Amino acid sequence: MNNETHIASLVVHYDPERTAEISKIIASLPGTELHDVEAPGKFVVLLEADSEKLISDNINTISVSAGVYSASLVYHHHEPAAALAEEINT
Amino acid sequence: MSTTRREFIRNSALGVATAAAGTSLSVSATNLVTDSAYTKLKWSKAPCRFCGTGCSVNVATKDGKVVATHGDIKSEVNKGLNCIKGYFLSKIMYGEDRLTSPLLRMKNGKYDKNGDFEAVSWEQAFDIMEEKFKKALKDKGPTSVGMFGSGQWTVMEGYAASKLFKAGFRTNNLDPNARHCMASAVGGFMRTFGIDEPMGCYDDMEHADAIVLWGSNMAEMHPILWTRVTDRRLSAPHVRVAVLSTFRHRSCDLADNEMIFTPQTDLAILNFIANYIIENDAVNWDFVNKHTNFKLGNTDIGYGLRPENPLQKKAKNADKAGGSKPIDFDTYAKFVKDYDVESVSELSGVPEENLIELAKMYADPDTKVTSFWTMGFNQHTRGVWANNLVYNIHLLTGKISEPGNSPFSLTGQPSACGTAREVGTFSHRLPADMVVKKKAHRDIAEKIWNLPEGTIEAKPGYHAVLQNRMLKDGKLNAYWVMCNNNMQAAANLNEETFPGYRNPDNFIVVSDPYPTVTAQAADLILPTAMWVEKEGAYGNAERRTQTWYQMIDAPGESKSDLWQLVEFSKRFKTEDVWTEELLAKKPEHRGKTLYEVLFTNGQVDKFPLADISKDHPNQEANDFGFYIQKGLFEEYATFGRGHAHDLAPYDRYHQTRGLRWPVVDGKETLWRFREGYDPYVKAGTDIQFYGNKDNRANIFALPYEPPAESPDKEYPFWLSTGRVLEHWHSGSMTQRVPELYRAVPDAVCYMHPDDAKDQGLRRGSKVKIVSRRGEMVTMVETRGRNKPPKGLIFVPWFDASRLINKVTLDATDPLSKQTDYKKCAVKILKA
Repeated sequence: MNNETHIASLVVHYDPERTAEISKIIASLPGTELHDVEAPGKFVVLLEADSEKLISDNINTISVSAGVYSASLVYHHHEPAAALAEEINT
Repeated sequence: MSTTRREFIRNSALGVATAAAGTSLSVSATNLVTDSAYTKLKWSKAPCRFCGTGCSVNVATKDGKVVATHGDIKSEVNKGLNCIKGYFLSKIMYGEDRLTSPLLRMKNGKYDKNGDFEAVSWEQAFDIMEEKFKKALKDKGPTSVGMFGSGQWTVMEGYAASKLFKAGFRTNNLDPNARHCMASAVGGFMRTFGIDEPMGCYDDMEHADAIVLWGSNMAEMHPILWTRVTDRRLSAPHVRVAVLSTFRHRSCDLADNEMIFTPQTDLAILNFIANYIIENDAVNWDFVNKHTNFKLGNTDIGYGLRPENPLQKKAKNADKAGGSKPIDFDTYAKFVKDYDVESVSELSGVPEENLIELAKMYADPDTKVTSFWTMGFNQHTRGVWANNLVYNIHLLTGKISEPGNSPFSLTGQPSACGTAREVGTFSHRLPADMVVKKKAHRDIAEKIWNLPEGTIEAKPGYHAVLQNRMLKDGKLNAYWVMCNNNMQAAANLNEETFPGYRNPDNFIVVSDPYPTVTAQAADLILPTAMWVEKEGAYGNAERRTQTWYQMIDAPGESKSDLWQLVEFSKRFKTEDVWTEELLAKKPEHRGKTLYEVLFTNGQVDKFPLADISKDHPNQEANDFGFYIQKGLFEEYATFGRGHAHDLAPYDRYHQTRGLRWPVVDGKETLWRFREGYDPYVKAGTDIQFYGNKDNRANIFALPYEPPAESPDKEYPFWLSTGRVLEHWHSGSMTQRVPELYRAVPDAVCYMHPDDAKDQGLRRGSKVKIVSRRGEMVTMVETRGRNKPPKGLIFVPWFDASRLINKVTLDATDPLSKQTDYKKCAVKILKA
C-alpha cells in the first residue's frame, strides 16, 4: 500500500556481553530509535518507516543478528501518512 | 496540549514496549493506548490468529479496518509481547487476492469439473453442493461424504461441524488438519494418562532449573515462549538449556548442551535416559510404586502405509499396533538395559558426554526439568512411542504435575487443543475425550444432542491420510475442506492428494479467504470470513480458552465457516439422511431440517440477540436470530462440566485473557493431577492420574525401530521438512504480505557446505530434489540459519510455488495416523 506510515516497537533480548556491537547494528538501521532499559540483555526499539518492506527488513535484520536471542514485536500501527499528520489535543 | 497523531502513537508504542520489557515506565502505557478519545481508535482483545501459543493481542479498528495491534500487557501468556508473525496480524485480512464471492468451475453456464472458475451466488453454490452431497448419500451412504477441518476453526465452528457430520450426515469422516500436527501427542496422552492435554502450563518455564527441547525449534516457531525461556536462562544463571534436533537451528544459540542426532534415534536416547536413571539409583520409588504401572507395548507395528505396501505386509503387528501387556519393574529395567551410553552414542551420533549430561539433568532429584516438544516427536512413525517414552523419564523420577517439573507438548495451531482435541473433531473422537467406538460415549452425545439412540456411527471414519487415499480410490465423493490448505500440507501429493481431488467421481468444496493451492484444486470455492471478522473462541497449548468479538465486517460476500456450516444444514431434511428405523425412535424429528434438529433445538438457540455485545457486530447471530456462538459454546460445555474438562460460563471469557480448564468454582487449574492444585484430586492422595481407572500412569517399554525409509546408495540424503520464522504453515496468510514474502522468498534447500561441494554445487545452485515419489526444483543454501549435518537436507513447506510434499512419503504412525514429514530418502541433482 502506498503512502502508508508504519510505527512499531520491539523488545530485543540479547547477549549482554555483546551490547556494543548489537546496539551499533540497531542504531545503523534507518528509522530506528534505540532505548536502553534498566535490564541487562534487553533493549526497546522504536521503528518508523514508510513501507512494510523497510520495517519488516529492519525487524528481520535485528532478529537474525548474531548475539540476539529474540526480537519481539510489541506495537504495530499503519495508517496513511496524511492521517498521522493530524493534530490532536491531549 | 497539542501534538500530532504520529507523535502520540510513537509515544504509545514506546510506552507499551517499555512496559512489556518489564522495566520502569514514565507513563501508564496501557491507559495511554486504550485512551481512544485522542486517536479515534477502537481497541478490543483477541487471541492471535497464528500458532498454538495463544498470545493475547489488542486490536485497533478505525473506519471498519484493523489499523493497529499490540501485545496485551494484561496477558499472562505473552505479557505484552508479540512475534514477527504477530506483526502482520493486522495485514492478513487485506491481501490483494482476497476472495469475495463463491466460485464454481463452469462450462456453458453449468457446473463442469473441467470448467473454469466463475463467480456464483451463495444460493447457486449451495444448490450444487446440496445436489452432490445428496447424490453421494443416496448412492453410497454416509461413508461417501466427508470433511477435512481445522485446528484454526473456532471452538464453535468445530463443534457445529461435528454435529452436522457425525450426527446430521451420520458419517465419522471428519478429521482436522491437527491430525498432521497433534495426533501423536493425543495418542501419547491417552495411552499414558488416559486423558488428553498437558498437566502443566507455561508458568513451568519460570520455575524450571533445566529446559530440554526435543524436536522443537521454539526460537522460530514459538518465539514468545522462547522469549520466556531466554528470560529465565539469563535471569537465573544456574538454569541450563538442552536442545536436541536433527539439524542445527536458532534455538541452539541458547543451548548449554546441543545435540544433533541421526533421525529416529531420539527413541534410543529416551530409553538411554531411563536406563541411566535406573542404573544410577535415581528412581523415585515412592512415586513409582504409588502412581505408575509398567507395560510392554507391541512392536513391529508397520508404517501406516497402504496395506499392499511391502513394508506393511512384513509388519507382524500392523493390525495390533496399540496392544500391550502388563510387566513388572525388573522386566522394564532389563528391557532398557540394552540402551547403554556407548551403543546409543554410536547409533545417534551424539557424543557420550552430552548424553550423560542430559541424563543427569533428569536424574538429579534437585533439578526441576521441563521438556518441550512439537513436530520432531509428533511427525514421527513412532510418534506416540516418543511421547510415551518422554513421559517415562518424568514418571520414573516423579518430575511431573508440579511447578517446573513438566513434560510439555506444544502445539502449532491456535485451537488444535481447543477445537480439534477438546471438541473432538477427529474421525474417532467426540467432545471431552470421548470416542465413537464406545457405546456409552455415543449415548452421552446423543442424549445431549437430543438425537435417537444409534445416530452416531460406531466405526471411526477416514482420518486425514486415509481421506486422500479414499478420494483417489473413489470411495469418498462429496468432500468439504475448511480452514486449511491440505493440498499443500499433505504428504505425497503427486500420488494421493491431487489425483484424489481431481477424480471425476468426486465433488470438492474448499472454504478459504484466499485462492490457496487447495482452493485451486477444488470444484467450488467458498469465500470465508477470518479472525476478527467473526466472534469466536480458541484453546491454546496450556488448556487456556480465550474468546473474542467480531470487530469488522468481512469483505464482499465472505461468510464465516460457522455461518456456512449452519446455513448448509437448512438444505437437508432428516428423511434425506436418516434411516426409517432411526426416525421411528424420535418421530418428533420427522419432516424437520438438520438446522432445526441440530441448531434450533432449544439449546443452541437459547440465548437471544439481546445478549450479544452492544459494541460489536455479530453477523451470524443477526442472521440466524439468536446468539449462536454462546448457544453452541454452552451446549458444548455440558460435555465437560463435572468430567474434569470444566469450562467457565461463556460470558466470563470475554472479560478475561483466558482461563485454563478445568475451571471449577470459578477458579482455573494450573497443574493437573496433584493435590492442592487440581480440584479433581482427592484429599490425602497426593497424586491421582485420574484419566485411568486405577489413578495410575503407564510407563511403557518400547524399543527403537528404524524409520520407514532411510538413505541408501540411490537416495543418499535424509529429507526433513518444517517451518521458518517468517511464515506460518503453508503461507496462505503470511504469503499475502508481499514484504514478508520477499524476506524468505522461496523454500530453499538447506544443506551442509561439504555435501554441496561433493555434489559439485554451491550456494545458490539450482537443484532438483528427487525421491521415489516425486521431485521439486529449488536453490541450495549453505549459509542460512538452519545448518544441517552432513547427509541431511532441510526444506520448508510454506512455499506454494515449491511444493516439497511432492517428494515426501505418506508414512504415518500406525497408532496416531499422523504423517512423518521429517524422514524420507532423496537424491539431489543439478537442475
